[in-house]
Amino acid sequence: MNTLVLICAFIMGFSIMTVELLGGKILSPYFGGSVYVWGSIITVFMLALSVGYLFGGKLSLNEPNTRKYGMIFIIAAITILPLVLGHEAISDWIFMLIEDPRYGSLVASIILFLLPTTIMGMIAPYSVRLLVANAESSGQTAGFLYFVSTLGSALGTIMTSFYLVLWFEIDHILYGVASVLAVVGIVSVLFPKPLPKAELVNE
Amino acid sequence: MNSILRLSVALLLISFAFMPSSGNAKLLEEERSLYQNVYVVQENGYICMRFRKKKHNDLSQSCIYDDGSKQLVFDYYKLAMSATFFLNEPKDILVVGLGGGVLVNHYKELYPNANITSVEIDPVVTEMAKKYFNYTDDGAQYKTHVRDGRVFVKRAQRKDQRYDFILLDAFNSDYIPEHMMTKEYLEEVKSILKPGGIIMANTFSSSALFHHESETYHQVFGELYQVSFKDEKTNRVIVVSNEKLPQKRSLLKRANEYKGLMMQYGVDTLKVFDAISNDINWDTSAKILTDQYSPANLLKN
Repeated sequence: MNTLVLICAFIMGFSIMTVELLGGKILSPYFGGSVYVWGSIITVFMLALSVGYLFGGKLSLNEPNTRKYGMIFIIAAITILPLVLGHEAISDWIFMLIEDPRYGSLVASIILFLLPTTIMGMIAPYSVRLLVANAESSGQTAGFLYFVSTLGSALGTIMTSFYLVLWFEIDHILYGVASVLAVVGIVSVLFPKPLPKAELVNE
Repeated sequence: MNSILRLSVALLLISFAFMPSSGNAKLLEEERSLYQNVYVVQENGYICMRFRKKKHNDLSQSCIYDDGSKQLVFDYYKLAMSATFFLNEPKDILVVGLGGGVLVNHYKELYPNANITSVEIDPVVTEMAKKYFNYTDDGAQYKTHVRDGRVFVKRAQRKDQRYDFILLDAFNSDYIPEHMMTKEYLEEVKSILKPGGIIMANTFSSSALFHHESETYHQVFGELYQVSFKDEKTNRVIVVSNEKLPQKRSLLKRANEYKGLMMQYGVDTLKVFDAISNDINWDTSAKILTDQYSPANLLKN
């Protein structure tokens, strides 16, 4: 199996949960630490991921390769930047605009997190496409990929909530995520890997 | 079959052995809220509100005597009565974090003409305060807002609501919520204080967080008074203002004036006066807490 793709999927799983957890810290100064703030964030992340899965799957139909795969990482990194630069101004603006903190936090979550998370969600189905060699083993391959990326998510959750917030400022962690995604993307673009062999034989 | 029976008997016995010794504690009510489980228990002559059931390590949020006495149970309540030394008939009081409403009830008695606004995030806590702790907000003077304290303060800032006295007493089952310990939050609170008003915060001084928290107040307000009893150092009340704080010795007059009145609450005002200090006893190089960096509950451990 393509180790590069697995490492990429792991890093993406890690990054998604890091951003999601920091989302609570970003919004709490404006909308509080109430349960509905988390409700808003999780809703937007789930919605964005679902749309991302759809787009990622669609994109994988058209000449899939690790170059395009890397480009998704680079775009994800770029869409995280406005989040870092604009979260204070946007939260403040929404706070002024919408009195009810439930809808305030929901609208702020949509503006801040919908786009980057949608892009990040595209990686999972695209990874499956790059890894699957044949129909028989496709379930196993997809299962292993979910295993790796969800393990990344678990690690991203615990590392962020237990340690990263203790060691760094929120914006620095987000810049770190963007940098790692960019590096991973550039590596994928510069060092393309062929698709699994079985596939090539069939063609 | 027999072995299953034996196993279940053994498990039952084990579970009995691990059950907390109930003593004379009586659970009056428990209700699950969005934020925590709220327990009201009666034990050893007190009625207390708690957010955790376990006996070990639990933190009673509010306690009163069950015989209707006005005496204050916690040291921190007594420390918080030092507010009276600084205040001169406050007109508008804001309490962030109602809990059982014990302090609000006392401030109501002390300042019958003041408007008192209480903010509490958990509607179940407010309900229990009314049911078991004699808290009421009847009358146009008194208001209870069910809302996150930080959101309330930010809103008050935009609506130009200002207060003479603000008590910061928002706690969850761990400590103060992380977004309500930061420099930005304290600046917001400072901005809704009338000139020369007083902010009082209920805090703990028992962990590394003490240094970070103290330095954050120091950076936002400059001088601060800490009030804590020499023999019981865990509870600490911080007093700050947006103007210069009065000299400690000028507070003695008030402490004497209130001596008789405070006796009924079980407060020795001279002991509380002695507990006031403006010493800088924290590490001033500690990193301050901000919205960008507030791992408060991690620093606590």
